Amino acid sequence: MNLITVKGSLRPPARAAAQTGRPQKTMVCPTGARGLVVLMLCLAPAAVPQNGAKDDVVRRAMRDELSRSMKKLQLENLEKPYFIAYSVFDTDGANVSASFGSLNGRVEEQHSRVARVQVRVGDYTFDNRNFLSYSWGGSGVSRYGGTAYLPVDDNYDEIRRQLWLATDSAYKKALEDISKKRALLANKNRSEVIPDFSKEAPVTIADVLPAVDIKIPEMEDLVRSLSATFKQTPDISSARVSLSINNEVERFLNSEGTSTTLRQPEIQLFISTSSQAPDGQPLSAGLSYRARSMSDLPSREKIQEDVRARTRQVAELRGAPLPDRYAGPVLFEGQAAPEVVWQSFMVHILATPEILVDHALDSPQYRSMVAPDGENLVEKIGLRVLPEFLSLVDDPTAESFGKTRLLGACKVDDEGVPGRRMQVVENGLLMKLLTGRAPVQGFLQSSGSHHGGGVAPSNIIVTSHKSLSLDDLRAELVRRAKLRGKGYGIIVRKVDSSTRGGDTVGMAPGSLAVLLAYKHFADGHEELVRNAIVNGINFASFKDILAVSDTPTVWSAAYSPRSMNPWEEPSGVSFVSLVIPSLLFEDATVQKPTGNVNKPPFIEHPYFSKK
Amino acid sequence: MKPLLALLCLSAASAGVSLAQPVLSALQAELDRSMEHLKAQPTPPYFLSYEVTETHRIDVSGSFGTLTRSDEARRRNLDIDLRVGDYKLDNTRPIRGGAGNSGSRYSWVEMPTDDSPDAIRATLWYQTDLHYKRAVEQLTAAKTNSQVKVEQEDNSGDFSPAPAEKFVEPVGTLRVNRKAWEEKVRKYTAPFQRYGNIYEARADLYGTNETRWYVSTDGSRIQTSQTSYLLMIYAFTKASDGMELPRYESFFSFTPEGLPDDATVLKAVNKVIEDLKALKSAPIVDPYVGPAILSGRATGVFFHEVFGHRLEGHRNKGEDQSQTFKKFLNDRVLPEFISVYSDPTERRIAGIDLNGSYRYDNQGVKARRVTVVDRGILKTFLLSRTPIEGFPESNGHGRKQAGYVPVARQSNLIVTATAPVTRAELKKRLLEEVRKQGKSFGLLFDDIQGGFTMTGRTTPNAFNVLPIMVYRIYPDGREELVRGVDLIGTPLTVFTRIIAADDEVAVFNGTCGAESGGVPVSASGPGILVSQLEVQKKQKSQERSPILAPPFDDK
Repeated sequence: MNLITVKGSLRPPARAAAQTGRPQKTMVCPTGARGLVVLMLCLAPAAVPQNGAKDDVVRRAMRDELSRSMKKLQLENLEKPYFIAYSVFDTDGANVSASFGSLNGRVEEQHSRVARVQVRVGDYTFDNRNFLSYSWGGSGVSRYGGTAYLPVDDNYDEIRRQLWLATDSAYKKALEDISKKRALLANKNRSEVIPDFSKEAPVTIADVLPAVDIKIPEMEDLVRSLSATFKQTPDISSARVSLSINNEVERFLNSEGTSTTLRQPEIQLFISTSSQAPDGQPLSAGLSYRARSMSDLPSREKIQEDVRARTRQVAELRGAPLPDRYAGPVLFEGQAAPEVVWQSFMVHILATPEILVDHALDSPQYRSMVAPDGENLVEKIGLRVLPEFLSLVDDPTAESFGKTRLLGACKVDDEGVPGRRMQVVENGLLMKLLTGRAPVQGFLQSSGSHHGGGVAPSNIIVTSHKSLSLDDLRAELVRRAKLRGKGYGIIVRKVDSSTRGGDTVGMAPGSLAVLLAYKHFADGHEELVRNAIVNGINFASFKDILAVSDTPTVWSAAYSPRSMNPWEEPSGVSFVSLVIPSLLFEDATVQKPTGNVNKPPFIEHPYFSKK
Repeated sequence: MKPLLALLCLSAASAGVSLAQPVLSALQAELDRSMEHLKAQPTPPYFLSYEVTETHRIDVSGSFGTLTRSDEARRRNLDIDLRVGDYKLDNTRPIRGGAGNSGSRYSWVEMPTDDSPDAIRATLWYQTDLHYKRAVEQLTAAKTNSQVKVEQEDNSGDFSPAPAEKFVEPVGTLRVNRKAWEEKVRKYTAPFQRYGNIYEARADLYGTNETRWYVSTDGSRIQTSQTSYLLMIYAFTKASDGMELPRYESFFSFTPEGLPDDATVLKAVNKVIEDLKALKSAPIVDPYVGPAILSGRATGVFFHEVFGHRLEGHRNKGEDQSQTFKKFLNDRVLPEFISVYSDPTERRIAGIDLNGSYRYDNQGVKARRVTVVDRGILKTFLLSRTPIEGFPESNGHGRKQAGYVPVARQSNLIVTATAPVTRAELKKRLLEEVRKQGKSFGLLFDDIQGGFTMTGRTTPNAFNVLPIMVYRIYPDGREELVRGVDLIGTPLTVFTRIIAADDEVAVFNGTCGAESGGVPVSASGPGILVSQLEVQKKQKSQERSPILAPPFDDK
């Protein structure tokens, strides 16, 4: 079916460009160095008012328009709002990238200010939310159901004008939605009535880290020099180094009296590469670094060293064999342990309510948009999901582990609910799930886990009261393998996140592309295999973990949560740190990749061929 | 004198850099090397071109007296046209009955911007390899498809040869004081501040420098650079029945000095405000068929949509196209006093720079004036290097936005009339028609926002032009502003009904969107009188006006 026939259109220039894209909300969550905050604030280029201080122009405009709306906004005899929340995101960011020692363009530092307005009608037990309905306003008055672009100038009247129009439009949409939702439910029996919105105590919290001083020439210099490293690596076909800094300030205000200010800068440095084994299989030497301050980013020399190390691994991989078919115990060691928890376990502990879908959108496509990423674990509370010697917490109050900062630390989430330590798994038993203010069965309060526009973890920490040294753990792997008649066990040291869209997305359960896998023999020697696919590791496998190491690895990534209403609340990303010991799984299979791949390039690289 | 001298030296230095042509040289070296090595493959390329487009943009926007954004970015994109097979049948042939012929029309390939030959060539090498592998696969599919399907109606080949072109012009620079622009957009939108019933009011200033480097196995080596500046004013209000009433003003120039001064812009802003007020209380026109005048800008847009798109060569070739004008070649399609040109070499008309100007198209073909209609007779089509039956060569209209695959597109559409009359005379003639047809009024379409048209076979072959300022002209000469109409109709009938043209030539500069992306175009013409035009009711927003008064009025 080819629906796109030719359609020419003439419009005044650039109008379309000006209307592009909906705002990308990026998520925030800080680390430690709280002691520095007060000191640094006076130095920060754009000072953000601490709570307790007088409202700034933006917050005053928010407060005044919110209170006017709560007081007066009502369409004829229809319901008034029972809850309104405003979030205003001030973005100040920059993004640079380079390849082969040359910059890829130049983009100046960007400032923007976007408001998102949430209006609820009905009451806490039943309201217009947890409902997906068509919401492309299209017209200029309906600010896409509650999103407005605000001036970057601190102009009280204009900020209020935009909030006024966005609130009006969100309120009208709320009225329509609640009547559609009532109509939809009129013909259905609901087995259990769970409230739509949790009641939370009002708080006033500022969680403001120092802004990163954005110096574009220095950023350019860094990516240019890092990308030039690849002029010494003939095994890498192409590489790109990018660095982004986002100092986002979120001001949040709701009609319950909660008022928060968040600034948790995000620094992301990505090195993505492509290269192929002689048979065409892809081999990645990608690296990623995340931090809240430039001083927490490794030095240029250290990163260059990492690049060289990864490049040497690629060179080794090119000469390594594909794996033989293997079924037996697999040890996820070092960084691979948090990676496997990230890809196969983590999403399941995030609980989101069922989202009703409007008749007009009732198709698999739209239903899948709001379907949770993980399985519904509500029924599994109290059951064993890890071996009894393991416990797991989500802890936004943990600011560091040893000397390493944990990036998921934050005082309050983006719905204005304070973060707290959640004992998700205790001695192997599933105790709690992470929630936002949309309750699920058994969890009527938010756990303060609404980050980046959806439910997201903060710091995931696994502890054990029975662990082995790494040597003993490897010996245990070999012993277990031998019981299965194997001459070696498999150790995974790095999962390949590049082939499945990067480590910002959750992966399909049950199948992991592995970058570094080793056959580990009884005499301690190892043989590298490349392009291994590990199958059979899913949520249920974690309760059959046989043993863990005594030294956990800290690893951070950016989680992009599932939005409960992708149109009105596009999701951003949320930094998550994981602290996980090496994990020995009882059962997994390892095999070669299937499917066709491109042959290696027909012509030699122009730079290395002339050398 | 000293500062001036320093400035001169600087510009001479930068001119020196551009004369060294580092980008062209890197493109040429890698093109030669690729062809050299790939010719040893069983399916060697018969054509290869590289086009690098650098876009340097400064965008500054204001709303209601405040700044909403101020951005600057410089980026480069690479487009590769690699063809295997031969001019008759190659890998680019659309697969008939296949899915997604239009699916892969866009790809952004980031290019390094430091003018480093090593970095440029590394990217070219990597991308050429990917393109080559894809092209070989596509050719197999295209060959099979042409065997299993019925013979095509149009038997022309897939690509036409073109002469080698050598042209280098210096790389231009944007001359923008961003701070001053930020002040301007605040100033231009401040007059809207006190209106609570104007829901959006913005001013956008755009400065763009687009530099293109093109090399091909034709032997072409082209470096062009074009700078342009654009100011847009946009505001909208709503009528009490919910209808949205927009109003645009735009100013376009190749130089910053060509943009109007603040006093002129503020005058235009006040006119926008006055027009919006008038539109809010203007009566709605019921569907109507009768005589109408299109002002010069309206004529331009009308011809662009109704006529121009149907002259784009591939729309007279594709098996899914209605091919409206294919059988009318050398026949009369317009009255004898009308001629139509598509002329990218024309830079200025009626004192206004033309947005559709260029020196070379995106396939390395030199721009030229094409007479499409000569005194009413259809002479030719707009052609890219995709030949159509009877037209084996390009006439320099293969165009695209960076990242898209080029097709035949318009440039500067110029409608001219011999023996024009004055606007007053045209109105007199309109009223004669009104009387003759027994109508109670005629219509004047004075300003137009844009339009769209469909040329496929599976959709109605029709057009829709979106007017903003429309007047009823009564037999006594009285003019009354009305709202809520779109101009509609089917193309062939309308043209036979043009009965006169005036001497008030005007220009519409815009961006035209179609399958090869948004390309800059202009459309200009005189005011014309059409004996019968059809209008329909405009689609109307169902959303009511805001419930609460504007915050600043709610004391």
